[in-house]
Amino acid sequence: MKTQRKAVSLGDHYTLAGASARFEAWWECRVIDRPPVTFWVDSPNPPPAPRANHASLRDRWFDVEFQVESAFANITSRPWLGDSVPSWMPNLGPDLTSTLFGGELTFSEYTSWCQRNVPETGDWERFIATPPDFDNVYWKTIDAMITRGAERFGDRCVVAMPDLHGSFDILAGLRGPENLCLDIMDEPELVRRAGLHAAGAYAEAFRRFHRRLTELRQPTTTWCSYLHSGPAYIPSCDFWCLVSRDIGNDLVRPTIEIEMAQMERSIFHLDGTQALQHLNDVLRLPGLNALQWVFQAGQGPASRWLAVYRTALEAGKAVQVLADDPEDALTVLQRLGPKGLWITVCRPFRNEADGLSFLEAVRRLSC
Amino acid sequence: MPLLSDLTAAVAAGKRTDTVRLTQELLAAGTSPQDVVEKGLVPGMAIVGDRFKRNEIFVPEMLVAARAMKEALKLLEPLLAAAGIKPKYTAIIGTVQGDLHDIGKNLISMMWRGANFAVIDLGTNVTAEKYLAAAKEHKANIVGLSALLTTTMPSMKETVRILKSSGLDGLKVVIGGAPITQEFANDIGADGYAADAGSAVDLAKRLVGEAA
Repeated sequence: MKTQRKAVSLGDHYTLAGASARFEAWWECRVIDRPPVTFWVDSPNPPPAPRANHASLRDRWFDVEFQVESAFANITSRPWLGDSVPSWMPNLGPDLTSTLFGGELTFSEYTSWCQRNVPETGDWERFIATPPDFDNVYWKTIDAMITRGAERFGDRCVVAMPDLHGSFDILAGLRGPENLCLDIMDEPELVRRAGLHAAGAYAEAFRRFHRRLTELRQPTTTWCSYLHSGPAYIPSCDFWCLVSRDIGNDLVRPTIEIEMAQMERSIFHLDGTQALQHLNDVLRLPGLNALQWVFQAGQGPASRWLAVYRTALEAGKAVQVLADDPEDALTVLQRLGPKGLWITVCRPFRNEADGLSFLEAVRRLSC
Repeated sequence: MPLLSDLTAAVAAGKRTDTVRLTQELLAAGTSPQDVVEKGLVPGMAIVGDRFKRNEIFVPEMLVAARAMKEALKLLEPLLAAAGIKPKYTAIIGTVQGDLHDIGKNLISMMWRGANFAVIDLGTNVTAEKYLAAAKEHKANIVGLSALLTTTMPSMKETVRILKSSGLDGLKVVIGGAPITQEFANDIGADGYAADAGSAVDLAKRLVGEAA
């Protein structure tokens, strides 16, 4: 289902329509005038830190008005250039999907994680018999955040799809990754059924969020700031990197295919050098459009990983290049050419002029 | 009578029931508990570490092997204690302050135990002071620091600084984790860096003066 896009107006240099057109071309490994380029520009007048006097971190995470107003102040105070999507992602942490099965979240300053509630291997039977609970307090809060965000931001910002862990990351959250590894060795068929059950819940969660955001006329984006007019997402599985290719293809991959069947466009999040053993299997996922390769801190720059980008491009997939800095980004662009690249510069630009200068350099190299 | 090499193969294959049965049979046949550990179990875990380094096996296979060894050690530890036999070296391990990830740390802990180190596992979110106190209390030969988050790398640096300036004689500090590199280890003055659990065994043995 296509969304009637809202107009986003945040300054002289930015149009959501322009960014959207570049992303729609990128998903198909086409280039309009240059690849999509995303980066942050430091705010010339950073807003004062919002006052937080919550009794607990949990209270702060759950304070819808506080979350929305903090985001509004941050987003509207900075210049938006290139194809960077001014967006806000309602967020209670990626283990939100584990709460569908009774998982309780523990909150820290910047993230949250699920308390384990599958104590024994045999408890997977109970898990499989449990339908996902979309009426729990976490999902009600996220829904309230989406509604309030869309009201508050109007045409200033897109409300993004929340961060969702999928199948085997849900299982690992509820059971612990080591116990899940042992269960795979001891009771593979039981774990297979649990993984398929979790994937079904993820698919339903994705459909619900997409339906709700479409009602609110939001284009599709999330923490990975692509744009698409229809259902799109960034599937992932951190647990995949712990297991062999055989186990991955046998147990993990089928669950990701169920999740991706909901998506018109998808970019797979491949995180860390240990996950690279699964690169070719990821690239064979049916319907996959693109790859986000996260080489992790200390393993950069992006120009060190040209072989990974080339493998994906040769498989007909687009790639998001997470460049350390402008020089790194331009090196990758020179070496690979613009087709299929989405360039993200991770280090924020100090000012608008530097950002515009970089965009012009990208445009010149893309001709 | 089973052979010690049978026990080695059972551990390496992660066969828990066979490992326990073979341990019992070897003991019943008069093999010393020390030989069962050093010539049966430890070589099995060494095979596991080598296969892991070569990407021939992955975390689940390593975990079932470690579980098999742990079951056998439950039988052996009271016998070793009664005979006054202790592991030659002691290691302290933990995930640094601010970081709650533990799977990498747990794998190395298991592999060090499998290499016949006594391992004191301090858990996650461990302060520099706690590492230091444990190193003193247990007269540790080696301290292992793990981190997954880049945001906790400064905590690792500070912990290394405190441990290295403590004056503890011969104490070696090694680090590891997804964002960690040899270059970072050199920068912060750590004695070593290991990229995976198998390499961590080689590193620990080398640093305490055993052939890796």
